[in-house]
Amino acid sequence: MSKVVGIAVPKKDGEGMIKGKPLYTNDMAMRDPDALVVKIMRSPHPFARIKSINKSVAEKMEGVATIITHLDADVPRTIYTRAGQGFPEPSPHDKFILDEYVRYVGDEVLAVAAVDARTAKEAIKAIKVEFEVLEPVLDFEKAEGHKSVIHPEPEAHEMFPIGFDPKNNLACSYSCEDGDTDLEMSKSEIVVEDTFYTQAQAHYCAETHNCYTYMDGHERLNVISSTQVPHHIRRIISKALGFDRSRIRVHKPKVGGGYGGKQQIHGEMLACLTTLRTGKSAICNFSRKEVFESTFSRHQMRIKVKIGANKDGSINAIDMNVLSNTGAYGEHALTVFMLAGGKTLPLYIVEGQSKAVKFGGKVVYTNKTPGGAYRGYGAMQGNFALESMMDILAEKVGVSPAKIREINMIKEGQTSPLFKLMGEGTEGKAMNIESCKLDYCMKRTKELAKWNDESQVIDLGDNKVRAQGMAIAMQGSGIQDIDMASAVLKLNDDGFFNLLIGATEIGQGSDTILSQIAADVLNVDVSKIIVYSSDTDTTPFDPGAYASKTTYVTGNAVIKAAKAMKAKIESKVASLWNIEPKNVEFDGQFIKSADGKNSISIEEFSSDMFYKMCGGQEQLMVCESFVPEVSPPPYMVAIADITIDKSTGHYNINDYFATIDCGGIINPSLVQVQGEGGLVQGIGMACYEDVVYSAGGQMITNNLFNYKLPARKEVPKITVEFAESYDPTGPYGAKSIGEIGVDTPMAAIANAIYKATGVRIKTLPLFPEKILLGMKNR
Amino acid sequence: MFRFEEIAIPKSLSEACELLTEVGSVPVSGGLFLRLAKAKCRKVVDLSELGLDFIKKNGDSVEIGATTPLRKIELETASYFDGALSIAASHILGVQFRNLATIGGAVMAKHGFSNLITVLLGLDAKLVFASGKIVSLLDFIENKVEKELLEKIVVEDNFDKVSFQLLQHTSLDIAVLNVCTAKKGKEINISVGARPQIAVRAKLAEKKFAESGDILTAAKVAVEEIQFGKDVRGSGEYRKALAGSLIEKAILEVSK
Amino acid sequence: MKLDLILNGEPKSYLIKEDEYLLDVLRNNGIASVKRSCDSSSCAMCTVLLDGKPILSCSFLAARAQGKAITTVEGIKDEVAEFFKAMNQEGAIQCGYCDSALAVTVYAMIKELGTDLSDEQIRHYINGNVCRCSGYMSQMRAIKTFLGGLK
Repeated sequence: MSKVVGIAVPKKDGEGMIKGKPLYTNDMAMRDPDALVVKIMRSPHPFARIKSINKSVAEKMEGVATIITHLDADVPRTIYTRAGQGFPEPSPHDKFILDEYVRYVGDEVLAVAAVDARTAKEAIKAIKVEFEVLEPVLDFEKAEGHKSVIHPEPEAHEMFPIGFDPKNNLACSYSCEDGDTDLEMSKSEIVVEDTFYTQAQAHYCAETHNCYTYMDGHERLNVISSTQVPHHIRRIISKALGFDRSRIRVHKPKVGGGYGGKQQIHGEMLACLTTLRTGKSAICNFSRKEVFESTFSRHQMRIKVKIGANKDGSINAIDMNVLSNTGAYGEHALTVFMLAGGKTLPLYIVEGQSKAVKFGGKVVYTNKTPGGAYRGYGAMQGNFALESMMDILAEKVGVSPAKIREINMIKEGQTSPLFKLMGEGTEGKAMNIESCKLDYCMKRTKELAKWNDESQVIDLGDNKVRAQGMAIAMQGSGIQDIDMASAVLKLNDDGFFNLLIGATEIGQGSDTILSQIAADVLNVDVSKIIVYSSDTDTTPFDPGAYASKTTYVTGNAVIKAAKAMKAKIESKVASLWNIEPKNVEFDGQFIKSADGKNSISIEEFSSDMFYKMCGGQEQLMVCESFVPEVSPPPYMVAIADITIDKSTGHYNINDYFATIDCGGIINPSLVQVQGEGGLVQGIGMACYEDVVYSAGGQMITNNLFNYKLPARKEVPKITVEFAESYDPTGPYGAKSIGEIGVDTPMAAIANAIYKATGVRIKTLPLFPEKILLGMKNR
Repeated sequence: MFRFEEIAIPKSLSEACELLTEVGSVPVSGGLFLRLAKAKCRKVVDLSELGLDFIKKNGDSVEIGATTPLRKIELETASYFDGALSIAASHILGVQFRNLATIGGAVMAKHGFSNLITVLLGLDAKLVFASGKIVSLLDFIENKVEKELLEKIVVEDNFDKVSFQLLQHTSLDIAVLNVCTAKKGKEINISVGARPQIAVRAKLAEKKFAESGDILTAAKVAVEEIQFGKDVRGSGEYRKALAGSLIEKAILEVSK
Repeated sequence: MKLDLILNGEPKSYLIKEDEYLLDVLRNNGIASVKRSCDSSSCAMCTVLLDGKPILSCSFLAARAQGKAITTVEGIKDEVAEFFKAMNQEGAIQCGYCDSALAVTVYAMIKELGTDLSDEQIRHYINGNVCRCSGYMSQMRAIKTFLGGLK
């Protein structure tokens, strides 16, 4: 057998997708012409109470099947969270399926199911809803203690203490400290302090948030959904609708992009209600406008950072304070906010090196589109603030941006007190860093970028300046002690295996990578592994695709399952041959006895297991689970190289250099594209993407005409390399790659802009306007 | 979504004109922004088969049919007007969009952000309507023209030098600001669009430049005489500062 | 109304509504490769070829396709088979949603401009094809591999 891991095995599902096979939720739904189409009436007001609903005309319209409102007896008044997280969720339960209050422009008022989309939309127009318009909370810095209380409902609650205080519009609050930060600051020779603002960002998954529901022959509710979290969806639907969990099946076909945007429940609840009420299948496809306005976005944040350091640049203490805007509902409010510190500060808060650290803040409700999970998950926001501050500190100390990081950054074998202090919504756990190649990444990225420690600026004449800026980053690999992943392997006749996993392939390539792992352990060709994900009826539990966990956590489960399968084959054969299992070896092709007397091919053996009339027939199948004890961080060092036209403020990204330590590499192509794709999403957040509201709380950037993604001309070149690295806890030494790519561009480009122009932009995005006016108004 | 009951695809201008006299009929050229429109009409009159997809040169005069797609303008006017119209078209979204969107659609919609209007205004373009009426683009922008069907646009290719400048946030975005200058002898045309309002000519600056030939002064006068506004892409203050740079660059380029 | 067109080389006849768009007609008739994404003429995931030229099917009134030749990826599978392979080898097919449209556009680019293309020419032609997953580099590598194979 040739090597399977470390090879660019083409994605198993790749060609099927590019050939346009009907693989996505709506491709399946469009084959059911009798399905009802669900459309949702959405609030035109940022904050209002529904006084009355008159649906008498709409109800009688031809083709209208049903209208669902909060007044209906079969719409339970259960409060829940749409966040697809482990249970009990760290997010407050603050959302009803439908409610008399609407809390942002785009919030659900009611739903209509009709024979087609046109009829459903006409019916919505015919329904008269009277609103009592309430004063909205639109400025997140004025939300706490605002006279408008966004969640007055008595049912709203926290699942465990998260500082939930709805009377003051607080979804949660938190603080922690190690050492005496104020004292260390006062003892520091250099103290720098500043405030940064990060904007909301839209995920823009290519496929909108679609689902398709139907009752099957067993009278069970089937939900096909474009989701990252099928198992969580089953639990949430069952609890919220009070519908027997054993009668719900959630499956996920191909998913057109997630990035965290599909780690929440969206149209599923109303589609399920339609199917339960009418017995008919239902399709709920969100329009692009609905995705922008009525799903989720990255949490907007204000981040204050204070660093105390010695004259030589060594850091004594960091104090980070965050105000996060979760919008109308608190999905992922606590955890995203905590990771702004949790996945950034350990870069420099190192045991035996720094002396103190403080992190804290609040997450407020506002009458805006809710914040939710998004690739980077707080780390990205924190990284912009911290890595901008590091350049400010470097200048104050009088060393280069590279030097200040080299002096302070964490190294292999070290640890940070923050690992024990902070987890995801809970206390953390101490962890030694067993793999950290930041030093190599730094050296290599500087080489690639031809970085100059003395000066990072070249005057090109004609108002043009070329400059470089740096940022470094970390992330995690799954959530230790919480994420449990499992894998099933089943041996079929003719010697091929089914690999059944609950982990959700959403484009990142996990089906292929997990197949490679199984194939490598079993020493079979990767074509012998038939992978399937994910279906709550047939695949084992997995939380889903989030928290940079699939390769690390599910990968470890697959290793265990494949080892168990190998042992099972060997022990079965041993029993047939009446010898000790330890004297039998499965080499991928043959099962042989140690003395060389017996040998049987896997094809023959597996077929015998089904058909041989010897009484020993058996379906060989194993299921193994894995719960990680640590969450080893991947690391990266990035340098942005830009050319800026000082007469307009406009800049081009000439190249973006990054060296990533994500541990061992299982599939070089897929890991490369995760790195590159993450960087471009980060560049989008840094330079082009902004969620903008009118003064009245309407989203202006609710289409791709006004919301601008980076096109390929914006990023003509990205240079990504990987450090040789091996984490002993990871499958084949692997850590995660899914999120880290997005973290650095905001600070790296802001730092380059500062070098080029002297304008320090502290509020994202880095629009040319801020540069030109910054230079002009200086 | 734009809704209608009927669609007619006439084959001649006269047929199209007649159809458009019907109550509730609306002409559609490329139809690209229909999806974003929330309107209803009875009948759409599609103009794509009127034979108005052409670019012809007669002496100095370039005639562009109303339904000529932007992609064709990008490819086939590169040797006219120092490529200004071609460049302006090439910055409008992707090839797929430019194969559908038409120059007539761009002009008649009077979108403030239009790159093409800014260039055509700088080039003193004339609009020829199916009725036979000929109106300068400047008149068309400044005054309301009653329901007319555009046949073609006529532009003289007799300037010494033409320049087009723009700034976009991304290559698939509309312009934050666009500028066209066209010089003939001592005379110069300066047009500025995406302010975000529709393009205007900087008449005082044009006069100043013709008198003095002073680039910096002309640019200064231009930014003072033109109104700049705010939208999601930028503030008025920014546009004004940006206009100073882009106008200066554009005048400099045609003065070389 | 009745719409007659040539879809991937075969004459087809559909009953359509006057104000339907080509994207919906194609999807309602089993062409799954053509995707709706942005809903505002800005992403090109709905690209099809109209008489050989790439257009946005989401914004093209189906009635205008009367008598025209429409090509989707289903119709050029053999011609771009090596492109599929190159894309998959590069890991460029991530969520997959935009890739059929990219294949159609690359095919049109080669028909229009040939195979001897600079990076800038390629980027300009396919710039409208937005991708949120890949970061574009791997697509470029795959296109160059494909073009190299055609020379």
